[in-house]
Amino acid sequence: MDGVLVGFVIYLIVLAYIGFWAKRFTKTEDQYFIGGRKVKVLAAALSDKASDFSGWLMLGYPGQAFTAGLGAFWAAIGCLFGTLADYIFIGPRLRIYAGRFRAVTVPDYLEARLRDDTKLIRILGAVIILIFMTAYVSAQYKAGGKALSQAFGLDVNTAIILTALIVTAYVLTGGFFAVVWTDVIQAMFMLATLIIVPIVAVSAIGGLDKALEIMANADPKHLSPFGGATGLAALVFAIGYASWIVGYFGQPHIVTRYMSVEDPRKLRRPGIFISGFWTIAVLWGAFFAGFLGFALAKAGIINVSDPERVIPAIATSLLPSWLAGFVIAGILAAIMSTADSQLLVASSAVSRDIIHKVLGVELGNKQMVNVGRLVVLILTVVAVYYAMSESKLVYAMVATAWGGLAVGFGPILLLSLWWKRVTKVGGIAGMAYGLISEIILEAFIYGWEFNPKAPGIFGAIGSALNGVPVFFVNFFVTMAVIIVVSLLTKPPKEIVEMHERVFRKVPIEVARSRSQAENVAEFAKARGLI
Amino acid sequence: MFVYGFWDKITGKEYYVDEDVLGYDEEMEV
Repeated sequence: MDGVLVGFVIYLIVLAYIGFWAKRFTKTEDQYFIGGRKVKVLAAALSDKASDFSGWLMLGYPGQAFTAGLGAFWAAIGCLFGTLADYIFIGPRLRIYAGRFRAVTVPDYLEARLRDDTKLIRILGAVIILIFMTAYVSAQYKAGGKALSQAFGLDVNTAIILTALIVTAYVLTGGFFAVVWTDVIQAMFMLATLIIVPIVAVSAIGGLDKALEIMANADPKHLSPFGGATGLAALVFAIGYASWIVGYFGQPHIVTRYMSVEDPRKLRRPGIFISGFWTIAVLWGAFFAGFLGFALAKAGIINVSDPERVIPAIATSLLPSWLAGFVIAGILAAIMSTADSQLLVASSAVSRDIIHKVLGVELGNKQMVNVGRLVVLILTVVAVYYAMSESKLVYAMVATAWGGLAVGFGPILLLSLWWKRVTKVGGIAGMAYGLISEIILEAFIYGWEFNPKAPGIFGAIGSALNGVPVFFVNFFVTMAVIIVVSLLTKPPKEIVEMHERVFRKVPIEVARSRSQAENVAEFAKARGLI
Repeated sequence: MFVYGFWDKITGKEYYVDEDVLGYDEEMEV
């Protein structure tokens, strides 16, 4: 307990220092919400991943690997390829447009790209962000509260307020820069945790062969890559997990990182390598922690009452207390690094999109940042209230959040970056359809997956697509809506011309084409070192 | 991942970038 507390206090001091240091970069909305588009690629790439992976990485996913076994590996494939797809299809092009349009938020970009003078795209975008992001923040506070209450024996509600206070403090003072650099520290914590835990697990059990033998005796399905399913059922099983890929295109707290990076070309290299290798390492670790945790539990080495608590169980049973404290900090880091990014994005939707751009409130730079801060504060109170209440509506919004954002923003972002013919009417129709259909289909008719239990025609559709996530199919339906409506309308000629001009390629400069190793070698040669 | 990372080196071309595209905040201290 004491070791845990000391580790945690050191961690808080680091967060507070970053919040204080970043305060100097909060003079304009550009700085407060996207770091003046001058964020180092290392920080942006690590922040992207730390914001993406929430408590799910430390608790939910190891829990899935514990229960489903080898089949849970598909979720890691989905997350890795989702990350790669974001860097290939969204990152560089979104950064180029964001710079040209001086866009601060995703609705900012969409409004400028589609030349929307009705403000409908901005309003729709802000509503989608506000509904789902606030619900998401409340879910993170709740998860943080649970983790903190278990680590220190606090009352859950007190722990929720404490989590919210920590996150809000550095978001308020340091804005985007504080969020990004605390994310970097948190990404390191997460990485270290997920390297330590599987190593401890495999050595405690006496090797991988021994673990596989225990699992095969306990439940042979654990070693099946499709959870024991065959044929079409195996395909649905794999799609169910790998469908996360398309969800990545539309998450505003993730894609905002690309808008903030100092140079779009750096997202290709080193950006993709930083985030790719980090993702592989943490998913590998989280998977093995849960997978091997099952064998440890079956061998009676650890006691796991709830599969989602498998990492804390390994840490407290097999590690010295100070190292267990490090693991608990890793879990909190995963939760807070997501909560802070989501809180800032939700606040930008209200203060930048609604108050500044839709209502037309024009104040000085400093005052606009302060409006942003006030909104952060108000949203924190709302999210804490949601986190403490057991409201069914909030639960439905949290369950719908990933799909709602994926379908609301994913298709229009992808098409507006890669297709010159997309029109504002197509965008409005697609986003409106995406928002409404996701809420109806996920919150009221099916839930996360299609199933035959739904009423009327939905039951027939549900039985045909049984087990496939709703948002995965709806993503492509929304895309079709945007394409059809865009083809029926006409985009302004100058927008089409600009789209062709803005992504032109030029021969690579010699200085930039060199790798770091080549630069180091040349420097060493010039100094006569080699 | 590797192919994408080195795509500009493979093709010898990259996206055109200038001050306007970078769009840095002028009041930024760094």
